[in-house]
Amino acid sequence: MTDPRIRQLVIKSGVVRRLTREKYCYAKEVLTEQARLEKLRGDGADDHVLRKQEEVIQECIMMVPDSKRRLQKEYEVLEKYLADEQDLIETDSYKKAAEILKDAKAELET
Amino acid sequence: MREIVTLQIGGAGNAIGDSFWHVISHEHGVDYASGRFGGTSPLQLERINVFFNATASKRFYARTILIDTEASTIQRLNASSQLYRPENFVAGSESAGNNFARGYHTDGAAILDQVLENTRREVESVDSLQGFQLLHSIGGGTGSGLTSLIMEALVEQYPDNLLCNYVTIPSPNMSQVVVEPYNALLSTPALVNNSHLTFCLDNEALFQICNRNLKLKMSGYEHINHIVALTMSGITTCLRFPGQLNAGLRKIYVNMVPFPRLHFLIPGFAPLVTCKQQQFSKGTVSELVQQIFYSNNLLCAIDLRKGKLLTAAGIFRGRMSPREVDQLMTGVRNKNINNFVDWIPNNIKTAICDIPPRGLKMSATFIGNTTAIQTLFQRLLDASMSMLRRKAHLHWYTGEGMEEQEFQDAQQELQAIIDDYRSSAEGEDSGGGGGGGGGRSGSAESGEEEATPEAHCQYCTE
Repeated sequence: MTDPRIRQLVIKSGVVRRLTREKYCYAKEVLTEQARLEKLRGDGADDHVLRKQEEVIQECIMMVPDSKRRLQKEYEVLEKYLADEQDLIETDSYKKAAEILKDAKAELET
Repeated sequence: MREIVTLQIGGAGNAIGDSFWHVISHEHGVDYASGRFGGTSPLQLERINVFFNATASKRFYARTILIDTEASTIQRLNASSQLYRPENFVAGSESAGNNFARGYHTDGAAILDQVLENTRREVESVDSLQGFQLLHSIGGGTGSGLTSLIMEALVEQYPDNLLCNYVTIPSPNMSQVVVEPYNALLSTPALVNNSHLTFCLDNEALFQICNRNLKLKMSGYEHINHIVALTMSGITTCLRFPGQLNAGLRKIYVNMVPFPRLHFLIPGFAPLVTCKQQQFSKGTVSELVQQIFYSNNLLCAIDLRKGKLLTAAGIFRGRMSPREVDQLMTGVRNKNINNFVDWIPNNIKTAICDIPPRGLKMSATFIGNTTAIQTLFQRLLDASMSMLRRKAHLHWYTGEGMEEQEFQDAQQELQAIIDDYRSSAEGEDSGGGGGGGGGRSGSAESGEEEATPEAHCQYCTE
């Protein structure tokens, strides 16, 4: 990568791609842990174990808005960067970044 | 999902890395020599992907990059196990010679591009990266200098991911090299500014553990590396097995680090006994809880009572009653309430995993963020200060292009982190380096409201 602007583009789009995945994973983790709680309840688990699992769920829930906020911030950084560097529009990196931005937007809306 | 990439750097980093992979491959039922799964429980495979890559034929590789400025140490690892991918060995042609400057500026810099290329390949092959785990000492040239360089690059290229360092800290009792204090000093800025979680593995404490607890007459690095690996196995338990608190690096970060600069964590492990001694121990949960708060069981030569715990966590393994564990942990906190800061409520976490470590029925791992860490930093500062005052051995560094000012800057950084921890013990102007605010003593509710936003704000600002 000879052009430092392309290098920055690859870095920024990589960040957004990973944060998109992260936000998705945290949301999915909440569902997984809630399902685990239902199973524990069905199995007649001790009250203490149920409370502990509630704690686990609260921790997972806590991570979702934090992750979303970080994604939103980096989404805006990348969006602005793409707008500022229009002359790179024909490059593979730019097209890939635009795709990543679209996926991120979809994840932010969930 | 939620994978971690490991980088093991320098002689010490590769030694403790190898011990770590020994321990956790066994826990997951993977044969260390061949990488083949021979386990019996589906739990062993459920989150094995956090640390291992898999092939279609159920063969596993450690997701790690083995890095040294000279080839001989890591070549031995290449020969001993198929757990390591051959292409993930990155070796230079000349040793950093126990010199931070050569690790950072010359011999280390020569292999930086290759390290980053290997890292990029691993990052792009995972589903959802949660961070990097760096294993290194700060006494040697490669572990101090090259790691600082790598951290700067990782923070620039992967600013969304967490850096978790397991740092071996030099000790005068085990030192063979007179300039170790300089290397440790020069490592400080990178650890303070670029790491998110730094676990301090103090050779001074490890030396004492081998002599006092384990009664080993000639303790060598193999014993120390095994204790470190057991402890790292405990710390990473919640990342590798399902269903417990802190099941991710970021959650550990959020819970353990109230202010971004105060991220130096002290691990401990119980029981620290030989096989013989274990016969005389009842092995009760109560014993484990008491032991993990003993200074003798910490992997850092500090006394918890000389500071205040900002946050703490206990990770218990084996068959035990969750109710009993929580009651005992709460009891310890209540009995020692003066050793905890009062402006962070609920600052102790507990996790339990049914799977015990190899050779034990029960164990507990401690993680503490304590203001007593000042003791360790002061030791490092004093050791470097006495030499620097007379400019002893400085020419080895200036001869590689460094300037004296860099040593003074590093000393200021080390002094600043000492001051930050000291002030947080007092509960006022905590987390110095932040933009004002911070927790205040007295109101628990106020502390809770102010502490959390501060942590997030600092992260955004960084």
